[in-house]
Amino acid sequence: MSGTTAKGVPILTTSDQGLPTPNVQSYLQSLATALDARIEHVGSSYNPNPDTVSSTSYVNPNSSFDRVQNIIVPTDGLLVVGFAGLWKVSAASTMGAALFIGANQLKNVNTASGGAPVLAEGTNTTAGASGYGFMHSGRQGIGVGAAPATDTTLVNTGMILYDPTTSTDGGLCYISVAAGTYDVSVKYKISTGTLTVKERRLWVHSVQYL
Amino acid sequence: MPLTPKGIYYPGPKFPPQISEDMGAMAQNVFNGIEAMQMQTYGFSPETIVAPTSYTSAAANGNGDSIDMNVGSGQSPNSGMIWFNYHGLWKKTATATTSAAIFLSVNGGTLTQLKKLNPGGAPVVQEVNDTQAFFSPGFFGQLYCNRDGLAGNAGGNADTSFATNGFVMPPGVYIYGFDNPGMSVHIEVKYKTTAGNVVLGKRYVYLGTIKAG
Repeated sequence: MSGTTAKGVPILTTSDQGLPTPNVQSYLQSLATALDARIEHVGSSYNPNPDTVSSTSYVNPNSSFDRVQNIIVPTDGLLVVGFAGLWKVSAASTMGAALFIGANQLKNVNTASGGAPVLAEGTNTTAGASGYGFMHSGRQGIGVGAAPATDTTLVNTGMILYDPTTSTDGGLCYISVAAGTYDVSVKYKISTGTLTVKERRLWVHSVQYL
Repeated sequence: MPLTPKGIYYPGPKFPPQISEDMGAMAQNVFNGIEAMQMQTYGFSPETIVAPTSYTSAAANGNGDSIDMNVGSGQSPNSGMIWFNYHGLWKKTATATTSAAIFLSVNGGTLTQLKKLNPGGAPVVQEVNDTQAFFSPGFFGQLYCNRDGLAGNAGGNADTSFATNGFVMPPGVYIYGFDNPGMSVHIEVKYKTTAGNVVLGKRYVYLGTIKAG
């Protein structure tokens, strides 16, 4: 095996013609290893169906969704998370939605009062039952939009990841973590009554900087 | 040799079948893990769209201010996401409401105007409607893409211009709901005005896939 690309991926050249099978296998393994170090590690979850939460502390209402497991973040990499979904409450209450890295709730820098980082979450306090509102990821974590009287609906293909009623900018959340393997999830809570969430999409990938 | 949708080579039928299958699977795995990005630049010479009272494509490139790309990602239904960005110069030639909007076509289907969230109801179309005063003979304003779609103004009393090196890019918009690998998307910005013409200056158009399983 006689060469590499400018970015270090091994290649075969004409001098390798007639390479014995074990050498071809060895080459393919080295190629896979080189590519593995350069591609992003990705995962996603989508649940169109409703799930309910009645817990006053953050929980996952359905262990099959709202989570992406075993995302590998390389050294000096970043974790990137996108999220979208609909929510509604059954009664006057305060609900919350937050990103978790493993068992730890995501935190934001505390520039308002100085000091240690503070827990990041999107919340909404309603005076009664509501129609479905939107919640989505943004640079600050998860933002929870207005609680409208009637149901908000979405288009299936071509929906903008943004809600004009949230204080969180739309788009993806870039998270600094140490190199490692991570489980990323979205969890929910409600102060009283029942929170229903549906049409949740969670996207997670890692970015490597070489 | 065969290619994956993003141009990764893998062995064709001249190789022993098992090697072809293994290499094909390997290339597909690599394809599933990379993002793709396209960028187009239009308008090195200003282009006039004459009296576009309904949404009209720019004509100079023959296909509007558009990008075509395979954008799908991942194994989960509707799990694909794209990032679209636009930064351009435009102006009006008369007192008018001048508008621009993003249009989207999936798998060769109907080109439809992008929609945005409407809390408490069904989604509504997203567009920018500029009513800023017209100063004769018309000056370039900025049209750009925020997290919620297009924004900007086509008026003003002096020309807006771009720097050539090291220019801050607008944030762009994330759009979701695209299916598994190979979904083809045509995305385009169109223009209209209630009076006069729309004149377009330099436009940068970007489209990228966000890979997520």
